[in-house]
Amino acid sequence: MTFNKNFFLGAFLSFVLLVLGAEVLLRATVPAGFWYRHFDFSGDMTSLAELRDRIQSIHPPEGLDLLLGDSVLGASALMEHRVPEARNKTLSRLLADLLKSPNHVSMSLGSDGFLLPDIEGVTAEILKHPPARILLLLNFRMFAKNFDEGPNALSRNFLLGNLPLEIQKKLAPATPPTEESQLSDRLYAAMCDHWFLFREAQMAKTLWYYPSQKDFFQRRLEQIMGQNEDQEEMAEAALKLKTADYYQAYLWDKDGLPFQCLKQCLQQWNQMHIPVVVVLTPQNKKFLGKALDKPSFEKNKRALASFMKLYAVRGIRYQDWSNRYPSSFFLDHCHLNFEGNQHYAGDLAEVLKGVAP
Amino acid sequence: MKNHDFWKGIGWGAVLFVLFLAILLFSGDLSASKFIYVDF
Repeated sequence: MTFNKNFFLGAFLSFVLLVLGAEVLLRATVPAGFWYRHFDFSGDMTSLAELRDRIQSIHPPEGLDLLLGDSVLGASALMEHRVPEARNKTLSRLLADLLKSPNHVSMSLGSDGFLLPDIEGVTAEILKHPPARILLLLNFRMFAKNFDEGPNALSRNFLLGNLPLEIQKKLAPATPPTEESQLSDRLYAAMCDHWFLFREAQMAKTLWYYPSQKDFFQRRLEQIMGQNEDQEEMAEAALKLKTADYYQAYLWDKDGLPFQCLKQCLQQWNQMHIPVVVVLTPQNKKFLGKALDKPSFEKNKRALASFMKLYAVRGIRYQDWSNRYPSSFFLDHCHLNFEGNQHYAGDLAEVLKGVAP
Repeated sequence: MKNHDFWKGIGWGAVLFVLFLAILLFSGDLSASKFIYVDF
């Protein structure tokens, strides 16, 4: 092979034209919603630009039902438990199928690890294209002590700029981030903002590296070597340790960050006259066992119900479904199996149908 | 001969593009969330 001027000219032209071609193709198809209609990217959110694309891409004639919440809506727990065709058995997919009509569709912006400051950050975007109805699924972990202030109270840094300054101050880390990490964040955001190929590539990873890259490689390994029988027990024990903090003896502070963000979300949706249903998502008390502090659990539920009563007069419906389903419907502390998701979706659809858009 | 090298270059440019695309699609984790394993 001869590496001469003509060879390099050909290679350069071919590479640049293909990159430009891919960019033009994506710029033409992303705003029309082509990729969102044909692939299920739910469960994660990789950039602010992606969030804006997803919201702008769907405009059904009679409006949109917007589903907000955390991993309860998505496929991560089902995939972790190796449920086949997990993406077809998620709460968001089943609910979308039940609510679908020729003029009406629903979209889930529920993402793994979402907390109430994240949902307020998303609200700033959704109000630019107000949906017909909003369903918000609250989870116990959203109010947990671990996430009530500091940088861990926001799962996606790119939503920070959408939050009021007072909230941003509460989310600030004790030590300011290094210049390198700030530069890395800015570079990532700028590439997602201006380079469609990069943005869509980040989003496309959700289709295979889900819920994480580690899980993807573990699944491949299991296909070759078979499943480790002790793994499930170990994973369950690890999960119990991890989630025990969410259910410890701790009373939620109504002046704390999660309630402050919830209040601001509800007020903003109410000002836009968007019908809202808020549900405290079902919990599996049997899984939690001794990790659950029952007095705090009951008191916190009552605190949330009394907080939501203030909004009932403004037409915002609140339902506490924390004790609604038997333990056999769950995969773990709060994620439901296929059967559980079917019942949950059916019950949510009934409630939503009673709320006129 | 010169024309032949140019077309070979075109082919190698396409291969480079496929490699570039693979790096974009498969390198790194879902890095936007601070807690990928928040519930697991």
